[in-house]
Formats: sequence, structure tokens, C-alpha cells
Amino acid sequence: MSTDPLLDLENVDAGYGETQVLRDLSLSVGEGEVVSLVGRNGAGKTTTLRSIVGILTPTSGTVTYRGTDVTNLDATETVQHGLALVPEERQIFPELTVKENLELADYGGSPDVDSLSVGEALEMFENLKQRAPNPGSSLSGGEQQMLAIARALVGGADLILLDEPTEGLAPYIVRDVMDIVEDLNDRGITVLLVEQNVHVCLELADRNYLLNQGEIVYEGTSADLEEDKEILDRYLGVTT
Amino acid sequence: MLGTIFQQLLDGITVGIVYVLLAAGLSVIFGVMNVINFAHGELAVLGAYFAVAITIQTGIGGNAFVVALVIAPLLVGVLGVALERYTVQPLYGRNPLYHILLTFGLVLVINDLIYLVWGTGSFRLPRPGVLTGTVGAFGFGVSAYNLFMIVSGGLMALAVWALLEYTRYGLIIRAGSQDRQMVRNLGIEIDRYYSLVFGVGAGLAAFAGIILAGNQQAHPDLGMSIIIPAFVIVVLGGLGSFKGAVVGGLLVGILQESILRPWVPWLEGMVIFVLMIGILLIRPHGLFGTEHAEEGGTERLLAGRTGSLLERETRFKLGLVMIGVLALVPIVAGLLGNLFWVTFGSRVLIWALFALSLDFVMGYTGLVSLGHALFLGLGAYAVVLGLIHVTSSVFVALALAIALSAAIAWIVGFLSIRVAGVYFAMITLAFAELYYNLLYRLEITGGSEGLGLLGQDYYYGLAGIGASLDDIAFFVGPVVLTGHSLFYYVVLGALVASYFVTRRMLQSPFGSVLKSIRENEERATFLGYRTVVYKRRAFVVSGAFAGLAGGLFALNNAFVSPSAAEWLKSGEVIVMVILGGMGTLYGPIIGAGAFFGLEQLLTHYTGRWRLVLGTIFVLFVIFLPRGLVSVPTLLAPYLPGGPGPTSATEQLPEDSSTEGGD
Repeated sequence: MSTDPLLDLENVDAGYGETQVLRDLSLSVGEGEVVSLVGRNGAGKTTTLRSIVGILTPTSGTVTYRGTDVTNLDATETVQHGLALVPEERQIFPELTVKENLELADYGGSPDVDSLSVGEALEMFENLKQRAPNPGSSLSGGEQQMLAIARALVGGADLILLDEPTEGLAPYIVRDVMDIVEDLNDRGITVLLVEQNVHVCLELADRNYLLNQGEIVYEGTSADLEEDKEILDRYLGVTT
Repeated sequence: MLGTIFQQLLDGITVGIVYVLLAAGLSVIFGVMNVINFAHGELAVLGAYFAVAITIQTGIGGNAFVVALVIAPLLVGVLGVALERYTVQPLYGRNPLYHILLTFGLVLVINDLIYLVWGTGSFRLPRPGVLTGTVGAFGFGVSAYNLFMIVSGGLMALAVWALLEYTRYGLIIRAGSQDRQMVRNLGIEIDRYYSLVFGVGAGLAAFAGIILAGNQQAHPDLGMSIIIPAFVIVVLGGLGSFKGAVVGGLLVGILQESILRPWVPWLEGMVIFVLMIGILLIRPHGLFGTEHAEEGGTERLLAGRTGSLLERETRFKLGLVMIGVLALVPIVAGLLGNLFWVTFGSRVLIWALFALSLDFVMGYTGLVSLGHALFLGLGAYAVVLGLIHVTSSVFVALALAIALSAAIAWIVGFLSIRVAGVYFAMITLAFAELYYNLLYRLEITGGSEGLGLLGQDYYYGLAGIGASLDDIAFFVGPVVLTGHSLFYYVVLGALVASYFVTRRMLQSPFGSVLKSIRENEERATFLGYRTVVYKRRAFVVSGAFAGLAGGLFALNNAFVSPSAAEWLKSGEVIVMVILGGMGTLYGPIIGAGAFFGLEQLLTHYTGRWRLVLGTIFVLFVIFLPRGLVSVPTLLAPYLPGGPGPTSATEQLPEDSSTEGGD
């Protein structure tokens, strides 16, 4: 890439207590890109996302966002810089209404003036608009995923980190979620996507990183990865 | 007739509204911060006493009532903020059990401060003239003050509800009670709101305390008596649920004051605990609580443990030396001609046994029993009643005590171990309170008077062979060991034997399963163990030893009263376990020694020793959470050749070879 990347991880080590999960991990995401991080269970995908947003602090290496070192910032602070994690379990507040879930994101979000208002977010997601006064617990899996993404947008995110957005969803809903990610990208939102489903990655992502046992073992465009049967087979057990 | 019923209903709502205000604060504090605040009742009473100062002590009287109603809650609110900031805050991220201990320490401190400043008397808050008469309502004459309580309390509750429902703060607080980490992930510093929540809760409690003191009286022990019903309400309604606090508060108020007291006074004080147990069994999350509210980790967090300590062999030798020293106590006391130390020693050793029994279930399976005094009381009454009605052999009576406590522990365990964490703690508390209230009501237990053993003939032996301790004498040099001194050896023997029996149990496969449950119950389940069964067995063992302690407790005093089963005793024994260091078996024994040693030392200097004791506890909880047994490990790095210093709260890796209660 010619310009500086939006997000840049350099030689990041991270883990839980004694257990090191990420080893010397480097990756970058350019503005407006959809980048996927693909790998098997336990490869360290979620740990990478947690290290970026500051739920976990890397033991060494640096995380830079828009040229600012955000390595040691906690989750509350990285949001102010425009980073938003959409966790795997979505973590919708079950007893708050859909609208309140969004309002909460508005209170905490970055001071970015471009961020979506609660009303705009509801306009964007027709399903959520209909369910605005209902509690979060009443939403289906797909709707929860929408709400989690809408929450990130209301919070003023420029980079959304999606952790397994299609996990546990019915195939036709997976399609919906993929459409949403494409729609996000059209709006200029950068996406770092973590997936086990390589087909989702290949379709959505501009570039892919393959993570294996905490290390990046492959980097390439979707077209390249699709061709590389050996890599797909060795690390993902996929035969396309 | 109709007038009476109306009046009774009004009385119920009046008391209910006070409960609502108390429970709302407690519940929201728990929901957002996971803090079980035992000091909440004391904060309410403190509010009442501040109002006493503003109305009575300034000499203004009832005209200053409204001023007091505004200023005193504000003052208590500020105190609440300070307490949160300086005592509660250092404990976030730690086991919620430490909050119980901390706030229990605060109870001791605040309660003694109240005694210190305002003395032992009670005060009735003077009311302004307009609130003294009766007014007509629905054709009945009603006390203006009661009406005022209902209206002002109701408005206050409404204000809190509006705050929670319609403001930004409220939204954040409600979200925080569901998932704190996600609130942080959205960029909100939830921790900043904790002080506010604690402060508002404290202010609300103070308001409740003040309006109550205008109706009844402010006395120093008011806090201790209102905190338990408040907990019942919070649990009934569902921890963390404001709606639950409102419904539960009114329900309990009306049930107690409008139905039980006037119609079935015999059951008053018991029904709410039966209700609480019943609801917890049918709906473990209370009436309005949800499972989500608990996913924040309350269940897993309650298990606690200590780090590994001295070398196994060093500890064993030290233990033997300790037993030797303890065995010398009656002899030395005899030489000094001061038998006080013998009775004192017996008391300490009995409590040590009681603490050991609690550690067996709390330290090794992570089940925090907040009602362990139930078993102390059961054992105590079983021995006294056994000696009066059944047998004159102390051994048979003690066996009865053990058997009865074990049997009741099995029943309580059967009913309560299915609920976990905080709910387990609360349900055990409910059983203990139920028993405590029953002791007052029953004729056979002597009601509030209790039962004495004076004039009863009993002997230490079996089947008629044996003698009273007063009839036996051993001569050790110039010292005669008889009566109390011999009883001391009985207690010491019981403690040492109990220690070795429990230690042996923990080293058996049974003990390994218990420890694996404490470490990770889910994994123990995956290994094929029915953990509920193991936990229940541990609870039965614990109950049995607590029953033995209770039996000895009664023998030592030759008397028993309902106070043997009061919740304060359950709190104190937890203090001892943690003071010493839980999950070690010997730590709680040291804890009991330190507890009474401190008490003894302090009463020499001040009548208000609990103030100092409470402060020491609070400092302990904050700075030395692993208890006294962790001191050698902490000091080791500073000794020559030791490794670098480690912090007191640091997670020390558990050394399995030194675990298991050596």
C-alpha cells in the first residue's frame, strides 16, 4: 500500500497469564479495506481482536491506529479513537430495549461528528426499527448481529472488528450479514473480519491473513488464496 | 373491623416502603458492582442518628425534621461515596466474598461509632406539628405520619425509578448490571459511576432510616435488625432488580405487619424466610431477576482460596509445637492461679473448631455458607436438650448433636446446593434465621430465656460409667487439673481430632474431588463426578463438625440461648476463616485465635473494641486477603536468600504438594 495503513500491528505478543497465544504477530489494515483473519479454532483470532481494542494488553510489540500508538489503551479508550469490537457473542444488553442499546453506544462513542445517530441507525436497519421498543433478548441471532454492528456505527467507529459474525446463524441469515458487511464497506467503514468460514472470507475480504497457532502463516488477496489449494488444505482443511 | 384491617394494611405499607428504599439501594449496588453490602443497615441507622443530631441535639426539635430529612441523607451519601472509593474500590476484580467481609467489618466500625457518639439509649425523632395528628382517609382516621412515610417514601422510590429509567446515568447503570465489560467496550467508564451508585444507595438508606426513626425509634442495633429482612427482599425480588425490590419490599411489609403480626403472631419472623427459601428453590433468580444478570460471574467468583505457604514439614512441626503449647495452658494458668485463661482458651478452641468446619465447605468447595451458626445453634441445643431430657452422658449428647447437625445439613444441602454462589449464601442465611426465630417461639427451647444446665447431673463417659469433670482431679506438680481445666482438654482433643479427620478426608479421593470442584466445577463434572453430591457430602461433614463445636459451646457456658444461632455469629466465623486464611484448615484455627486475642487485648483499653477490630479487619481484607497464614510467604522474599518481593494480592501459583490442609 502506498499510504500509511489505518491499523498496524507490529511484532505483537499477547496471551493470558502464563499462556502465550500470539507470537510476533504483524498485520495491517488499510483505510476502506475489508481484511479477514482466518484460522482454525484456537489459532488466536479472537485474542488478536482483543489485543487491538485493549481488552487484553500485548506483552510486547505495538498496535498503531491512524499513526497513534494505542497499544496500552484499554477498551474504553480505544473506542474514542474510532475502534469498535463486535464480539462473537454479540453481547447485546438483554434487558435494555433495542433503542436503549443504541443510545448507550452513543453515550460512550468517539466524539467523531460523522457517527450515525440512533435514528439514522434505525433507518439503516429496517428490522431493528420495527423492534426498537423491544428488549434485546427478544431479537433473533441475525438481528442481534445487526444491533451489535449498528451499535458500533452509532459509537462512531471507523474500523469495525467483527468476531465470527456468521457463527451460529442459519445459511440465509449468513447471506444477510454478508450483505451488511458489504454495505458497511460501501459506506467507507474499514472492516477486520475474523472467521472460521473461509468461504465468507473469500467473498468479502480484499486481503486475508491466515493465522495458525498464534502466527501469521499466509497473507494474500482472496483471489490468490482461492488458488492456493495447498495452503487451504493444510491450515484450514478446506478443499475447494 | 374494616377500620382495623385498613389500619393494618396501612401499617404494612408504611414498613414496606422503608424496606423498598433499603432494598432498592442494596439491589442496585449488587447488580452493578457485585457488592453485597452488609453495612447498608448501618448506613440507614447512621442517617437516623444524623437526624437525631440535627433535631434533638441542636434543640430545634420537630421543626428541623424536614431539614434533617434533606441534609442527613446527603451526608450519608457523601460517606457512601467515600466508603466506595477508599474501601470497596480496591476490591473490585476480587472474589465478592471479600466484599461481604469488608462490609461486615464496616458494620462493626459504624455500629461502634454510633455507640460511641450517641450512647446506648434510643431516640424517637421529633416530628413537625403537622405530622403528629391523624387525618381522615377513606372515612378512617389515619396517622398523619404514616401517611407521610408512605407518600414521601413512595415519591423517593418513584424518583429513583425515573432516574434509572429515563436518564443517561440510569441507562448506563442498568446496562452495567447486565454486562459491565460490554459497557466498557462501548467506551463508557463504568467504574466512574460506582461511587455514584453507592452514594445514592447510601443516601436512600439514610432517608429510609430517618422516616423509620420518626415512626419507631432509633437505637444502635436497628441496623442489624433491618439488614436481614432487606436481604430477604432483595433475594426475593431478584438481585439487581429495582422492580423486584419494590414488589418484594411491599410484599414483606404487608405480610409481616398486616397479616402475620395481628393474625398469626407465632409465625411472624419465620414466614419471610420460608417464603425466601421457597422462591429461591422454584425461581433461583428471584421473582424479577434474570439469568443474564448473573452471567457477570457472580457464581464462579465466590469460590476463594489462599496461596501455598510454609514448607509442609515446617508446618507439621509448628503444628505439633502449637498443640504442645496449647496443652500447657491449664497448667500455666493453674500455676499463675488465674483460671480465666482456661475458660478463655476453651472458648477460642471451640470457635476454632467451628471455623475449621466452615473452612471445610467454604475453603474446599467454594460454598459460602452465610448461615453456619445454624449448626452451632443446633449442636448447642441438642446437647442441652439431650442432657435434660434424654441422657446424662455428655458423649451421647455430643453424638446426638453431631447426628442432628449432620442430618439437618443434609436437608439444607439437599435443598440449597442446587442454587449457586450468592443465592446459596442467602439460602443458608435464611435457614439459619428461620431456626433462630423458631428458637424464640418454641417452648421446649425456653424461648428468649434459653436453657441452662445448672443443676443437671451429667457425666463424661458411656453407659453409666464415667464421672463429672468436677469429680476428677489430676495433679501436675502443684497444679490441680479439674472441672474447667479438664473441659479444656476435652475441647483441645476434639479440635485436634477434628483437624486430623478433616485433613485425612481431604487427602482421600473424596478430598481431591472437592478441590477439583473448587478449581473448576465444570471440569469436575466433565470427569464424570456428580459435583452436587460431593458438595452436599462436604456440607454434611461441615455441619457435623459445626454441631460438635455447638455442643461444646453449650457445655462451656452450661447454658444456651437463641443468640447461638444469630447471623452475627455466622459473620464472625467467616471473619475468622478469612482472617486466618481459608482453604488451609489450620488457617481458620489461627484466625479464631487472632480474633479473640485481639478482642481480649482491645477490651483492656477500650469498651468499643469492635471499632478497632472492625478497622483491622477492613485493612486485612484490603491488604492481606490471603490471611495470616500468608504472612510467612510474604516475608520470605525479604529474608536473606529469598526471591524478590511479591504483592499480597498477587495470584501465587498453587503448589499442589503443599495443599490439602497439612
